[in-house]
Amino acid sequence: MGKRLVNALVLNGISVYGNDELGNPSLRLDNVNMNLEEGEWLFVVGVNGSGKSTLAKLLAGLQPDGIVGELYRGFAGDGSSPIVLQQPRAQLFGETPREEITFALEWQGIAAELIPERVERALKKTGLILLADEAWDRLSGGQQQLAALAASTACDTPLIVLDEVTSMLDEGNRNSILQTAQDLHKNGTAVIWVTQRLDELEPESRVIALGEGTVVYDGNGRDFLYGVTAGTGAVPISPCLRAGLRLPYMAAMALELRRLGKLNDPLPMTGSEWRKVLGNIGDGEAEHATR
Amino acid sequence: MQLDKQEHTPLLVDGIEWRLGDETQLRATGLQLVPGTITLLMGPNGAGKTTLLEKLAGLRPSVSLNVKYGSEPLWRENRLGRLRLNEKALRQYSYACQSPEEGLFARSVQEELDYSLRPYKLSETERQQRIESALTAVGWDSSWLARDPYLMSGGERRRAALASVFVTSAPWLLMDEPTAGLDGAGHETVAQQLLRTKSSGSGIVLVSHDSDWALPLADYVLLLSAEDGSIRLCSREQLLMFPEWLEETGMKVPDWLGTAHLLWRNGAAPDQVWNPLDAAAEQAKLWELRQAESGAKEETVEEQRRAEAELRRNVIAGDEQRKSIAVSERRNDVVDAVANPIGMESNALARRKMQHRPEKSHRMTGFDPRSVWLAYILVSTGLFFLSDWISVMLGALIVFALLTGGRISLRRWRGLIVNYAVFSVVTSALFAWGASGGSVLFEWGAFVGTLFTFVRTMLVLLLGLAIPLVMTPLSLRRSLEQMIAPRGRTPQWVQRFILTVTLIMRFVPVLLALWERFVRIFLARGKSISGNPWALSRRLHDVSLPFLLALFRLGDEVALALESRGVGFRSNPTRAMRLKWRLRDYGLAIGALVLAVGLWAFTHR
Repeated sequence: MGKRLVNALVLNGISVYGNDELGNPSLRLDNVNMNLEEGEWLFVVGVNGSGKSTLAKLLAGLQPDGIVGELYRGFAGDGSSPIVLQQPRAQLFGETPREEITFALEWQGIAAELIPERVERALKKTGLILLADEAWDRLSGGQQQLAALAASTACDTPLIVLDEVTSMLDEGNRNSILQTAQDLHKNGTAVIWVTQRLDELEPESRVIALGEGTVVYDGNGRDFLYGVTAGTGAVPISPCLRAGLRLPYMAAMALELRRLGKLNDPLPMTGSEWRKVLGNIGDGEAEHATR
Repeated sequence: MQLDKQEHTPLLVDGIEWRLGDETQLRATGLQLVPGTITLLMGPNGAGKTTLLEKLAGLRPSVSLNVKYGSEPLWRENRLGRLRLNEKALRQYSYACQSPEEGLFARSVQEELDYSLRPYKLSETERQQRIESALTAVGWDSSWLARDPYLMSGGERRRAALASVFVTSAPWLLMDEPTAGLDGAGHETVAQQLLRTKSSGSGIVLVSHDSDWALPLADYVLLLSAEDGSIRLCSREQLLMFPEWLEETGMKVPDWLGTAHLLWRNGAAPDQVWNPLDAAAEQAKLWELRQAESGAKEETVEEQRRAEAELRRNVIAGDEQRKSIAVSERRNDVVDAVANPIGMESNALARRKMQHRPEKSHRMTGFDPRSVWLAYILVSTGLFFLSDWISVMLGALIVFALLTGGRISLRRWRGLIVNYAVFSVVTSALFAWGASGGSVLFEWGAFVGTLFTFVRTMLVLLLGLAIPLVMTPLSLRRSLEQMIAPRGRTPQWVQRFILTVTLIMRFVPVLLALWERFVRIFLARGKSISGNPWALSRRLHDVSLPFLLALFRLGDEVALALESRGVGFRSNPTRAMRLKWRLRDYGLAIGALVLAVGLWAFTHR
């Protein structure tokens, strides 16, 4: 336990003071305490202006001005970790995926003779190999994001931060980004996935919800949507609603079914869990439709 | 108030391939959206939802698409045969782009609302009414009118922007992702306002990622296919029955819609599945039914299927009825008002298909950037030797041949080139006037003499403009660094300088796109196509503030991204590849040399 804590990335009483456009002081983060273990997957959710982005940058090691509190980078090491942002246009410096990844590797100080091979590997990993030499305007937004992700992770990294990378993407594009991030996670990289889209949350993964600069929830994904049933048997309130977020359709339906006494905890959350619950009403095609 | 609104103002679109419901045949004309309804535009990334919405608003020129608001065509030919926007049509809609708060520029909410209302001639009482109802729509009272949007939080700014969209009461409301980044309460506020707008008789076209929020609000759905850009117009109920239509556009069926579909198949009424609470009740009912039946599970799957097919038929029949009314009304329109003969439309369609094909790229990729540079310098030197109009003509021919031969399109720089041409003519004229000592006699010789210098420079400029198009900024950086220090190590300040220059080049198109975005926002709000100097300077003023703020944000992001890539921390990055001259590079350089000498010889003939 003690050894792991040494390695964790720790935020201790962190507050970030900022200024709005006219220079009036505002509090972006308010006394945030958290730690992140090596290789952990963390979702960060919250509405616009809740401090998500400030926290994301902080965790990526890009220290803002006006920070108060203790910060240990632990396993993430000194210097900054790769961060991918919402808008691909601001973070692509080359004109093609190959050029982009090469540019990134050059600045990481990789020996020149190793670079072409590393570029090739990164392209293959993200499935961009066939598009390696296409200009950006021939690539979809999702493919541009994949290229940005490939460029920032072409070197092995203990931590990557993805700040609302999927907010402009459809489900197909989103899944390929998610897949790539999951592959990195499997290989031991800690992933911080900042999002507004609650259908991306996993039941067992850790979720941190921010509201007005403070951590309003820190726990697993299922409890975030459905709340924890207390020993008294009272109906729990969804932390998601407490954080001011809109409950997705499926989650709202699950809560109502629990209220009607038709479903018990643990409530279904993923596609396959729902299929299991609903499975008794449909035939083979049902599976097709909920896929 | 808006008189047009009392009239029937459908949104008519010709020149896009579409089908109604389950039709298999595509049509080219007659797509109509009805006022008093909400239409959700859905499609995968890259299908062009935003582009289509902008075309509906006339914010992007479109050769093929023929849009009419009621009897007002969006584009009209002026006396010179050029297409110009029709201000009357522009006043038929209110437009909210993505992150509309980025377009705010005034120093108070009152000013923003006034700006949106300016194109409409309203009496003072109507104005007050409109402003009041717009504030209510976003949950504000009149105390907010004096507030400065730049001193607000992001969420408040979004409200201010939405209020200035809702304030106009135009017959159509076009909205692109109005709820992105909003909290639960914000979603609810926008939904309520959309429903109010709809019941007041306005039509709404909506683009939204939040399908479980938007689809329950919608009456109709426009499914935009990524594959061929065609459209399917169907009712929300039809989409519930045929969720696979979403897959045909290239999208995935969201889990929630799959579940709603299942509920419907199992007998839930279509209007009982949109609200998750209703859906839960239906689901509970279904389970109870199943439990009761579990003993007598003999009801065959076959029977169930038959019942379902029957249900699908019934709902579609009802829907067709609704549609046929719309279509017959449309037919009346066609008789008296369709301006386009069929032949023209199919032409337009063919043209659109051509646009879909990817552009052919230029032929310079295979060359070392340094040989391209050298060739450019040689040919430009040759061009500077030109000393009479005949040789300049020859030079122009050569430049033209080089650009076409290399398949290089200077379209991106069109504005710059036109400006330069105008500037040359005006300056030459001024110079000639000055040379004549202000007398009425125009000094023709002076005019032509000055113009000559400009034309020659322009030829060099045209070739130069091609350079950033044929080599990427980073390969330019590589070639510059290698030219300066052929054996490696460049001094750090040189490296920084070159990196800065190449990054600026890289971001020129991004900045242009950003500027155009704000110009579009102001066209959508100001609804004026006036080109007089006063209007232009006004536009410059209104666009530059939000543009500069966006620029700062972009700058922040770029700095962040560079920092996270490690740029600037390591003094000497490695060079992944060294450029090598190949045979073709020698060929290019020699060809350029021959051309330069030829030009020189021709001038001294």
